[in-house]
Amino acid sequence: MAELVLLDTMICIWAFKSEATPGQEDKIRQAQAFITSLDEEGVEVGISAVTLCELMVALSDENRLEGGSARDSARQVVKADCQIAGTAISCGASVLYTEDAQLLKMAAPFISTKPMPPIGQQELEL
Amino acid sequence: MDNYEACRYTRSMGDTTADKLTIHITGGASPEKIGAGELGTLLQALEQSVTAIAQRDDPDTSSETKFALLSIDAGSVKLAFSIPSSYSPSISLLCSRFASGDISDLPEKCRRAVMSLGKWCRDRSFTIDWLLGETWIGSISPALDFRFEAAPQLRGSAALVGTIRTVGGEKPSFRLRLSGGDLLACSCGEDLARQAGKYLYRRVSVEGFARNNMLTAEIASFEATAIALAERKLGAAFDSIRERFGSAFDAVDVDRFMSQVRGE
Repeated sequence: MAELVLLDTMICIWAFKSEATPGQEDKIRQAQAFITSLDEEGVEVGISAVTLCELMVALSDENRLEGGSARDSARQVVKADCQIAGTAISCGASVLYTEDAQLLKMAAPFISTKPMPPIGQQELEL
Repeated sequence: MDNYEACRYTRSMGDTTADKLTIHITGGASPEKIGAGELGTLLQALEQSVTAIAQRDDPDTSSETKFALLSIDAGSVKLAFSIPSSYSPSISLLCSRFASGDISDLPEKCRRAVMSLGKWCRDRSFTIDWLLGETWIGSISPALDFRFEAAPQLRGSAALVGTIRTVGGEKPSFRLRLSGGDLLACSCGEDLARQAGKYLYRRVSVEGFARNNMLTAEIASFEATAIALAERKLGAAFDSIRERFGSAFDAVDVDRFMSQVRGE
């Protein structure tokens, strides 16, 4: 059975982008190279329902959230983090890849949680 | 770590030793009162009740593992089996439910098997004593009334991706190994079963209707209506999304967006 890893929202968005927000050019290259390395390694890739929803929100014009306010922030963070980590664990994922510092910290005691490996080290990291 | 967790940990470490499970049928049972076919059905239910828990708790548990009959004693109503030690925590968990009769948290296959064991004991006024090693761990008595709260189910269309591991049976069906390791039985029509046979050991996407347990979100049953090969093309999938929606994602400032949706 192929290894399963879970990708968090930020990594997906960077991988879907073709033009970078100023200052994030490296992230696009890194994410796209990471996807290529996962493909070559034959790793199964999953995303959580939370990530799917967030990607759809990102695509929605009315929810582009320009100037939007954080809603009940502490509670939202806990809910999203727990749901994503819970999805990874319940699906039997071996690694949860995220660039979200809070999620990295929260999920680490329960599942191997890593940021995207730097370009050039991606095969090694897997 | 309690005993059950400790045993599960041992199993995960690749334990291959064997334990002894003894089933003693009391209450006036004797060979002439139990036909061979009836005994076969009884032993099948016994094995199913344990393996269903073992497979739920460890998807790598082989479905080929069987109880090996070691001895038949005490008027042919005391049967000893050699079982993989990895099954012992499942047996302990199962027997711990005999006191209350509440089997709500056990897998559906296990519940069906346990209900049939309970009915057999009631109909015959027999008791089945379970011993792990030499230690008594539980009994199914005629008075025991097994019960469970069936979780509400939600039926809806669903698409699954996995590898077809087995095909066929009396009723057309196939078993799909999902990405997370679960093995899911899919019912289907005869034509689809034949198509599944062509895709044996291949990665496929399956469309159909799933019944999900609304409390655990587990798939209780799946009725397949279409199968297609799903060779993995991760890079191509990302390229396709980028091609179609890339410009919309380009407008997203990732750091700011994440800060806003997660309130960080």
